[in-house]
Amino acid sequence: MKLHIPFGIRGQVFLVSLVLFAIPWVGYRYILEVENFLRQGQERTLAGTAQAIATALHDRQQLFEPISGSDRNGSRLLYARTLAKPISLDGDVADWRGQNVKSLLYQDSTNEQFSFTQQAGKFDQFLYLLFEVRDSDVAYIRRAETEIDQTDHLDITLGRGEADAMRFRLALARAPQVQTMRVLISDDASERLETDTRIQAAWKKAKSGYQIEIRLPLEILGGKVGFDVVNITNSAELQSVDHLGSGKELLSVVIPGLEIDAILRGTGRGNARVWVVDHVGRVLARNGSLQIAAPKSDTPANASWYKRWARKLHAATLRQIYSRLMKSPSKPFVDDLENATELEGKAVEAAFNGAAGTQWRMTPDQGAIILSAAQPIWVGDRVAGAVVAEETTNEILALRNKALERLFNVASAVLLLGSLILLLFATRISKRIRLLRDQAEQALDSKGRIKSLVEGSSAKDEIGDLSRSFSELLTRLADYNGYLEQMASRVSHEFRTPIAVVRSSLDNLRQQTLPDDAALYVNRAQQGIERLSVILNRMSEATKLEQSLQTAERERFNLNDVLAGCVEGYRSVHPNIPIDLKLPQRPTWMHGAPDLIAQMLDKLVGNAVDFRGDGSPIAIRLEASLASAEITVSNEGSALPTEMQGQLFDSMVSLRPQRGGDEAHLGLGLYIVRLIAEFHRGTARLENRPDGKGVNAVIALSLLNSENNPI
Amino acid sequence: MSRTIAIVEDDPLIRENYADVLRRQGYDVNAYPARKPAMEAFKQRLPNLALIDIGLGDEMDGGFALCRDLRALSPTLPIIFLTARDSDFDTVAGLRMGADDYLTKDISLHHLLARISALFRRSDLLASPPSQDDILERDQLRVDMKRFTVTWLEKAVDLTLTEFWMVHALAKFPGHVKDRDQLMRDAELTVDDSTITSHIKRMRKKFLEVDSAFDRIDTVYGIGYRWKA
Repeated sequence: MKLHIPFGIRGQVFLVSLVLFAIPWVGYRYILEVENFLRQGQERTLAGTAQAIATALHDRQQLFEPISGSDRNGSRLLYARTLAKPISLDGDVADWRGQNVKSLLYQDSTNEQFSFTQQAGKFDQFLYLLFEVRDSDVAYIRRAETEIDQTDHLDITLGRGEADAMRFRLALARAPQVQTMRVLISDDASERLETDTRIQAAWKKAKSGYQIEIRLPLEILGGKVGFDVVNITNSAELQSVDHLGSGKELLSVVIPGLEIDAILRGTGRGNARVWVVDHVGRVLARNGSLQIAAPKSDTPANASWYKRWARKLHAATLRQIYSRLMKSPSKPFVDDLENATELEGKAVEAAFNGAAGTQWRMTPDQGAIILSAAQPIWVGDRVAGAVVAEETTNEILALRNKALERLFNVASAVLLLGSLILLLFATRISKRIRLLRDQAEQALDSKGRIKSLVEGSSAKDEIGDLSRSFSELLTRLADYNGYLEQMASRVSHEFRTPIAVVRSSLDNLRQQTLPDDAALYVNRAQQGIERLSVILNRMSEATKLEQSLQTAERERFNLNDVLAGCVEGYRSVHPNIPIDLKLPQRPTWMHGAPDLIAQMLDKLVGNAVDFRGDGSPIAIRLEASLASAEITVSNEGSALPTEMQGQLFDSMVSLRPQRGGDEAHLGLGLYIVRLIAEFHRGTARLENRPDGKGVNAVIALSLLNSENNPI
Repeated sequence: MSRTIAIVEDDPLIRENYADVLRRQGYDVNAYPARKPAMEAFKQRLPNLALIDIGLGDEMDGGFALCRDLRALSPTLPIIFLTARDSDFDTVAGLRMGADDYLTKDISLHHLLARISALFRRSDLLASPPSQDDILERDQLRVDMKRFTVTWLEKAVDLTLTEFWMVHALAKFPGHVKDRDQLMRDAELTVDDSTITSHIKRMRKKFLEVDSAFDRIDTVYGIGYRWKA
């Protein structure tokens, strides 16, 4: 076999079965296609959502650019942006920095010593105001009895109009305390102060004045606000009072987040997050969240036990693998924009340029993919801001994962079952082939003789065919072998009749009166026919032995006696040849045909006599153990040719030189020896003597009876 | 009155050769090529001795059938199988059919004639009283050389002619070992060793049928056989 295949049919079929893996692969491709399609759909839907919201915000300028100017009714506006970070009420301006809040400067052209900047922002449910007042002389309440009128203070008016306006007075106390009081107007138009803690404030002295932070709850903010910073300059001779502020007219407070929030809430969508940003990307409002709650277990508590068990098994095995391979959409992820105050990116850029844009991005922890769709918000012919709608692909991902899980479940089952069936199938095929091989191997013995015939299989397939072919082949071969083995006896049988013709003719002839020279030739013909007759008898000897072995009777006998008797006979037949005999002390009982053993010995000794060197002895030795005996007939002489050692015990194989003697040798002697040895469940072999000077014929015989018990 | 010998043999050359020899010896010879003409002739008139081949033309075992039929006609007629078949099986089958002897075709005519005359002698003398000279007695064994009969413990042992000669050869010198060659010569047989062995086995069986304790024919392994005194 040139090609070495390291695995059998089973391995090969297993390799072929890998083709089954195409099923999950194709399914996977298909699911990815569908996912892609779903994403495109999501993109369109989200863009639509953004567009709808943008439409609602078109041309509402005050929501976007209220920093200066007035609203439609002509009143001035106070723009309070939603702050990204909370403000701590301590009078420190540090937490306003970076919040990107514009400050407005109020100053009086007549008094350069006194001015202030004002910033406003909204955080949570409060409006925060920061005033940085430039004041060279900060007057605050140093002692309890200090008159509020004699300290720097701030008046804040809240309300929709004059009618329901509330005035508050915030006076600087010992920093950072600020006394907050409501100013009530009595019937007599005199002012009355009443402590009111709804407004909180803190102040701090600064380099060129002071700064004060104020916190107003949105609920008391009526929609308009006015403020009046009062600077008291106390000098020895005179007290001067400077007013600087929004004046008599109240400012309309615009908190864009709040208004837009209201709009956004109306359009709110479950899993979407909608941002509205102004024209530079600052976040004005946000609604919705991308994080979704983890789905509850989908196993109903009252499911039957095997379903629960199957789910448990599934969770313990395949689900583990899937959760490693696929991102679970139910896990929380890190969203870098969760608290963003400014948005940027491709989609937003596109919106600022007046076009709709979409963008896919991965969260920093790779936990989710977020789709953004941005739409410009037009005020007139300018882009005043943008609506950015965001959605995770988690819903699709969940859908996809579920589909993939089902696919892999089904595919695993199909693969497992398919592989198992293929394996069984291959096992069966290979088993049948191995059986056939074993039968074929056992059909011939080591000498190439047919021992048993292969039983033809009744299977209808090719292996059955092969088996039947084998069976037929062996039957024919056995027939032919039988024919060859019968050849000798057939030939001798067929020859016997013509020989009888010749012999009887010669006998007839001898009874006539013949001339002397004719009688001479008749005698020679007679001798020739005698020799032919002997040859024929020898030829049929082996066949007759085979026949007689089938009917031979076994008896219990002492092998020592047989050997002793035989050797005595040989010594008398060959008085010139020294024959040594070594026998065990104890009798060697065996079960068999002593006549056959003697016949076997005849052949061996006959060979030894013929092949021995001149004058050299023949040694016969019997060694017995409990279960077997070994007869060795040893003679000196030339060694065996190695290439023929295996064949010498076959029919018609001879080492004798071809010579025209009166003895006919057909190479049947050792064949008979083998037959007799095998009859006694033994073996026969010829080997060169260890000393190299001759040949040993070794016959091993079983001393056990047919039940394998010692005799 | 000359004796009549019937030869049933399908090979014309052998048939004629044997017929010639026997005629020269003064026998009347009727030769038949097949079973049917032979049987028809036998029904008309029985020969004194029949020489039968087993394979007769197309009939593989025609000779056996003929022997059986002939034995049915006459229980005493000497029948000899002369055949090319030499297997134990055929020999046993032939003798069981009631033949007096079983010879293979390579026997010499000289031997054949001796057998024939011996058989004639036996059938002639079966009636006449035995004379002491022709009797060989060894303990319980009695060998009648004239009638070719053997008795053991006063009971007749039914031996073929070949077996008779063997018993005679062994019993003549009790205790002496006769090797196979000697036995073959004495029994005027040209057969191989294994046939001698099977002959001996058959003889033992026949004696055992008469006496279950019989153990006189002793095998001397590798040499031959002897009559135990």
